[in-house]
Amino acid sequence: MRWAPLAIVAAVAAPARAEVTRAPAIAKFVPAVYPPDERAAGREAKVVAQVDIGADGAVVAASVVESAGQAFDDAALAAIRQFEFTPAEIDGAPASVRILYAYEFKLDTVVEARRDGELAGVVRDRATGAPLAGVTVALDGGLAAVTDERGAFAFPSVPPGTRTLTLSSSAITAVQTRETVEAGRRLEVVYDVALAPAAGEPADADDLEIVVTAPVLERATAAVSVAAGVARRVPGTGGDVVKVVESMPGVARAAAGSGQLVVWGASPDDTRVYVDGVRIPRLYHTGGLRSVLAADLVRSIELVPGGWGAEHGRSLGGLVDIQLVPLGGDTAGVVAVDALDGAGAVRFAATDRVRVAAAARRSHLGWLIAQATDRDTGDLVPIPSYVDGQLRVGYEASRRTRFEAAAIGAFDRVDRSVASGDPAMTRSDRADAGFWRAWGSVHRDAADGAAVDVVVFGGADAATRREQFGGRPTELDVATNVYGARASWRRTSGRAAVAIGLDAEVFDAHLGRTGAVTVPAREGDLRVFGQPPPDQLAADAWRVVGASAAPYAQVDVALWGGRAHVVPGLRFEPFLVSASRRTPVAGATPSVGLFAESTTLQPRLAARVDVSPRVRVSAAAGRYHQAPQPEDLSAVFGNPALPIAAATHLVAGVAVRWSSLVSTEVTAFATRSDRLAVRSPSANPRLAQALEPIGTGAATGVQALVRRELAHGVFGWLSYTLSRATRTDAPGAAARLFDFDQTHVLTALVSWDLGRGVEVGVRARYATGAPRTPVVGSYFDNRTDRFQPRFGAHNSERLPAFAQLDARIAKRFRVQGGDAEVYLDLQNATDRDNAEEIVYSTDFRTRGAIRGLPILPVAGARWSW
Amino acid sequence: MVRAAWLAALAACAPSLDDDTAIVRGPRLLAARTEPAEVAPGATITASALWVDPLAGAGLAGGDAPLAWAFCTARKAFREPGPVAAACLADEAPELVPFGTGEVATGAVPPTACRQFGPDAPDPVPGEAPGRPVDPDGTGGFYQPVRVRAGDEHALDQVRIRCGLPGATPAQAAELRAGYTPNANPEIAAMLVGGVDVVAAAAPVAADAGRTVELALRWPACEAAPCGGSEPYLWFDPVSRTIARRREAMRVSWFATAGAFATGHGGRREDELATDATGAWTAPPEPGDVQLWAVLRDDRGGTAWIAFAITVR
Repeated sequence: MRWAPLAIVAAVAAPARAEVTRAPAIAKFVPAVYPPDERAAGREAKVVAQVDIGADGAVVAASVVESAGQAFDDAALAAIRQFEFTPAEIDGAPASVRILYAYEFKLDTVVEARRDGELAGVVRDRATGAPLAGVTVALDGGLAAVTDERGAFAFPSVPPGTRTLTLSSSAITAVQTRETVEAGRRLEVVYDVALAPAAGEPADADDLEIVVTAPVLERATAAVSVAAGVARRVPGTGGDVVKVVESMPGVARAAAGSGQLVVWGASPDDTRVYVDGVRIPRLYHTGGLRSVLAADLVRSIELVPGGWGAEHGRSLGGLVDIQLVPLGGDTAGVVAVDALDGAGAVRFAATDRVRVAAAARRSHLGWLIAQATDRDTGDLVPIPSYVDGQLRVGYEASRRTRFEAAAIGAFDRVDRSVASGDPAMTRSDRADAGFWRAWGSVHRDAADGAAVDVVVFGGADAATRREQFGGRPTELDVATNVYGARASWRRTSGRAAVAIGLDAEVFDAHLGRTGAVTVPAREGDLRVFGQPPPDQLAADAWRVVGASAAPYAQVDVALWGGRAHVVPGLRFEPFLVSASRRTPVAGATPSVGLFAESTTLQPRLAARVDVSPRVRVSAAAGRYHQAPQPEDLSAVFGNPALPIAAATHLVAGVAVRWSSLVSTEVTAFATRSDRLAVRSPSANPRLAQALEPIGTGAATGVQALVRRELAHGVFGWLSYTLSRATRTDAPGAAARLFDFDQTHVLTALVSWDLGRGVEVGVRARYATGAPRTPVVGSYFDNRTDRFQPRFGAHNSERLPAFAQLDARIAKRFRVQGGDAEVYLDLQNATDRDNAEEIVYSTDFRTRGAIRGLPILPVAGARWSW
Repeated sequence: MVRAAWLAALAACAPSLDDDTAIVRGPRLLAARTEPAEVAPGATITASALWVDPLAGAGLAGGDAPLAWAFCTARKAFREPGPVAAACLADEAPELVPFGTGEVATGAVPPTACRQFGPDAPDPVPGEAPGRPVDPDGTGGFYQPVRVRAGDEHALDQVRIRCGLPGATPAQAAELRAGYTPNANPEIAAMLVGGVDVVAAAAPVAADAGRTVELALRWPACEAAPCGGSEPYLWFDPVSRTIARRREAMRVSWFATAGAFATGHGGRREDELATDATGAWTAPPEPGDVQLWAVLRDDRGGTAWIAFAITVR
């Protein structure tokens, strides 16, 4: 049985202009007796009652205003008359009030156990950030609470699932939103609401600003999460919420146009990206201009650079976990266009149980440039083109069970050619890359409080590269089918929250490659930007099938009244890898394949202690494993016998909430990885061992995040990472700097809502230049008629430091029943020359730097309804 | 306007470097060749160099060239950058086998060349699995490195060596062995400056100061190998794993002691049947004699060159 306050309908015996400064909140709830005859008949009902509450909080009178029949009416009134409330206040003084209550009789409530999700939050004045007391926060299903003088409210026990919340009081415009509460987890939210307009004032277009803050360090010791609504306003991202990852601590600045994600000294391939639990191969389209997901279907982005729990594996580096917006019953849509692309997204309820969301995007930058310039401009500078799309259909079978089917995909192309009268300098380059994923998922909140999630997915990744440089081909074809499933069961029992699950993934990759063994370059290769590839020519076609199914278990044990948590976890993961060819093709000799099995036990341990209500100390450690890349298992270009690489993460941090708005997190980290595949150092490499698993890596550092949540229209953060990442390329070899090592990475950003729909923001970035190996001389190579470089010490110099200021200004207004926004994203606002790469003259006697783009204004507009 | 702004933005990204290596300002090795152009291991070759020194006045090139020739026997690891091992560019190293000094030198290609730099399995290392052969270049060729020390500088030449066929069936190996003709160095049929063939001309060609003259280098048409033009040849395509016929691409490099070239290189791709490459040279503003060279290379390692003078008036 549930009850819900509907409204305060009157202040009893109060002056006519009095204001309710504190709403009554239920202090004692008495369940009604379900009428036996009605239960036997399987009937449910809702009774709406008018309740007079005295100044002392006692129920003075109750009467039915919406009847559900005599039996239900009597049972409801009998229960309501036993309720006790905290006294209401009018103009600051306790007073009698009259309210309406809805009392619902649900058959399932008889056996319903108390559930264990927790929802807490703060309601604030959007304009001033001041806490709002007396706001009634009502959950669907009957739970309600009233905010205290700090604006805080809490539901210590909330049935898991997607819940509708209604915020109402005499001071605000009533608003409604939805939250997803998970069993055994605490969800903290901040609602910035607009005060009800005074007579004659227009209503604000956005009555509710929601900031969902994951519990500090709840999920992983170093996780950083940003809600989509905030991420969209970050300057320099062009409104792409996913690109906010670049501004998070622990992330090295990617070279312009690379779109690479380098986290805590891990190679870009070592960081995994998940969308609603489904792994996708990459986060960005080619060139890093855009993410592969529609911004308006993203709910939040979380980066876990290391030390994560047992539920994830198969990577040595970080995790990017993107949560899509829950499929609600509302209808909304958006169309957006800027210099890069045009996009649209829509979501609606097809029926009262079926919800649909769809989005699509197509780039037009290349087309725009072609209209404005000659074709040869695009040929000189590769302009990527891309499309992506998402479709999701959700079905809410019941309050406890929901299903979802979804598909996402993205496709990129870069195509250019450079003609030359010199046959050695003609160049053409075409790269296609695409992927799609389709999945079905089910979420079930069991009656005993457990939560079960199952997702089954399939998809394909494809990448093709055709490059000719002076007649020297470099070709790569990769077509991979991937299948996987994740299943988890979570339940809180007493002081322990238990999660067990299975994480399985299978891939079947068909690969073909032509060109020099050393192209494309790997991390650690000595190279000069823009040089022609070596003219050795090898070719191979191979197939790799890999599988792993990892059962895992994790227990969150609460100690000292919940102030401390210890979270041990264990992941048992056998890796199976099959390569089609053990050695290169030799004449008509049949191929002999290779099958390898490697079982790993991956312990994880995390602990956190709330030293005070504001301070949390945490630590985590874990062992992680990653299968070799299929591209590295060629008998010609790599080594089919590469083993599973491994890494150890150690993380420790402290988080301080200075206030409800400002927090600081400082995290120290150390990672060690081994059995990394590196090029064979031998001048006499063995057959099928162009790569050897003899590399090691190390990264140590500390990262800090000072964050101000959205209030008074202002949000921002400052992230800083101090780190050192090194590699060794052979046992006993001296450590060298990791190719992507950046000692200092600093990002500071602030966004300010000036009112009247005008918003401005700036982002400042600084990053130490990435290491490079200097060219100290050259020699003439007669056969190729080209000078060849002589290199100095490996990675012994750096690119100049990078510094850039981005700015954003936006204006929102109402248009034709919707909200429109126009914005100008000014990248490199100070027009600073940033060196992106070192280039040399033909004979390597002089050198210069390729500069990043000059000041670049990107204008765009979006209309949402 | 928009185009100009866009191009300006892009141009701002790339630095302006002194990249004109076609103008010879000091002593330099411009080219080297071996005769024959392709040999089996153990065969004797005669190596020669186009060594020029504009500071030496009339000499420009000659028998006093401070060149030292050596075969290099060091294999290159995948981790090492460049076409050869670093030891091959040293002044002294155990892996260097000297075979002469001066502009011309004669020596025998090391008999181990196909094991060290070719498709044959390298010398076994006790206790280790078989080694990995070297991959061929884009024409199916393998090369013995030759270090040329020129004064304080080093240069690299590579002699194309005739080895077996890796990874092919015996029938394919036999087909290639029967149908393959070793590469021959190209020949220069004519060198035209403003339409005048400098090979046939009795006197130096003249050009007005500051004016641009057309250059054209011609090679013989070639229907069958061996010949001095763009030779057809058989190769083993490692992708399709079939024997295929193709034709050499030709490349011309222009050099001068003064003036400026529109571009320092020209040539023909293997799918172009024309037998010439053109260029444009702008005479310097000052009168005097200018020395020019044209170097013709096929893409199987063959080389030829011609030196000629233009009087600027």
